[in-house]
Amino acid sequence: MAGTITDINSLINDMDRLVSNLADDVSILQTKPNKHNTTAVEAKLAVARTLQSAKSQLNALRESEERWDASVLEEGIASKA
Amino acid sequence: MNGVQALPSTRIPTLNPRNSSEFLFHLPLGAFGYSSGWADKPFSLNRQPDLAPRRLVRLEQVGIAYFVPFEKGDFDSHELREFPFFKKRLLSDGNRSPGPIGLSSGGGSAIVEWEGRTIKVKRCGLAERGFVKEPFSSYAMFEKDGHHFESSFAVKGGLMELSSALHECKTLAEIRREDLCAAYKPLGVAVVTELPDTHWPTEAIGAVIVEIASDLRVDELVCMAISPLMATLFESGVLSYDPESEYFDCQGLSVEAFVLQAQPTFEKLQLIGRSAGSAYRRLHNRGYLRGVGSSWFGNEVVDANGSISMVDLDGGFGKMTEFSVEIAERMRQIEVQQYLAESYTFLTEMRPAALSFLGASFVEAFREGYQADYHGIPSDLVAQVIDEHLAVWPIVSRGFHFPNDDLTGFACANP
Repeated sequence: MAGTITDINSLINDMDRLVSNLADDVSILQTKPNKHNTTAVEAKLAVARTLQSAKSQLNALRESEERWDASVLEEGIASKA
Repeated sequence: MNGVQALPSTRIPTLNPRNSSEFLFHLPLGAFGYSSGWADKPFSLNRQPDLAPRRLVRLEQVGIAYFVPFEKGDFDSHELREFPFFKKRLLSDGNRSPGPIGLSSGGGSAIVEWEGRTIKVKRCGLAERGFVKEPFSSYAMFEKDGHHFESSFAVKGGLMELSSALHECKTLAEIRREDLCAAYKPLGVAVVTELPDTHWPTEAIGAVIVEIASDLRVDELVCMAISPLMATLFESGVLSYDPESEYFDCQGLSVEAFVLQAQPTFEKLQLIGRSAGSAYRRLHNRGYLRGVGSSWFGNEVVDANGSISMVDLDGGFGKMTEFSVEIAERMRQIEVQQYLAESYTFLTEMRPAALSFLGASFVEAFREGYQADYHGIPSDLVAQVIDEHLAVWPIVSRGFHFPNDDLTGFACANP
């Protein structure tokens, strides 16, 4: 994990776009089934799965921030009010 | 999985470069420092990097990856190519299974040849240990709705999370456009899809693939600048080094004589330090934060022209505008202090006071340089430092008890 990923939304957008492109490629390849295309489809699906997993990891960290945000930050703000 | 055998062994014209003409900036054999390799003792995430030379490594395929190129500011998944994901092993580990030869780049990465280019693969194993699971954590910072949050995460020793790899690749391209990183050209990311027999067979792992013009780090150039002095001290018997404890033992070292003899070294360190300081200031002036985790002299690369490139962007690299003015300023402050403190510690720990004068000279010059406009290291100084170091490298290497990697039994190297 990078020490700082402040542009997390941008990174998730990159991952979404990559997965979407991979899905488009798979759709096209599946219309012309042959050995080469079958191998290419497997590769693209494997990469898409890994990207989805990376995105889930980032989202999980973001959810943990929200818990921190709700429980601590709001108390801090309230104490200053 | 036999794909790694398709990789060529890295062309190494000479294992023992004798002068700056023979020295290869993209394969800096003969360099040593804290971002070079590892010594002959268990390398751990839980302590500072070793003072060590560059190590020759053998690449052993351990997984399958697909190379996703980064071109024209975007990742392109249409033309995936299989990339044999490997870990590096010591030549001398007794395992003689075939595999091409590469060079260490720090404890966690390797330099290899691929498709006619010299590339760095970050990361591909932790020193001689591969992918290790240690109770070691670090911090990540995220922004949400204008607030920044830090969370700890468990470090996967020797591997890089895919999200980090994508982020670093993209950011390298951005700062390269800003002329802040001439030495590394990001090519893309290897997305690891199979990694059996590790602690993380199902995690999202990636590796940054960069083409390198140079991998010589500023800390290595500093060590080279000190080298002739160290050779004299080792040969005279007044100084010795224990690689186990990393302690510099000295017997009757004349402080006055040392300072007199060290004058040329002080001058070199001041020139290098000022350039390093001005390079850091340029980065801040362009609105970037280096990242506290990368704030030391081992994450800067020097090329033959003396230009300094900022590399390794996984320690907190980001834009100042993503923070409030106050927090950006506080982040900038801790980065400068971290650079000074960490670099000073590396150059002075377990050394007598006289030797520590050298570290103090470097960090003081960095401080001065940080107040100045950017200026690279004079190219003739770079060549001079390399020439003078390589002339005494065998003595220095023996004095530090550095391991010696030879290629006996590896017919694939030195074609």
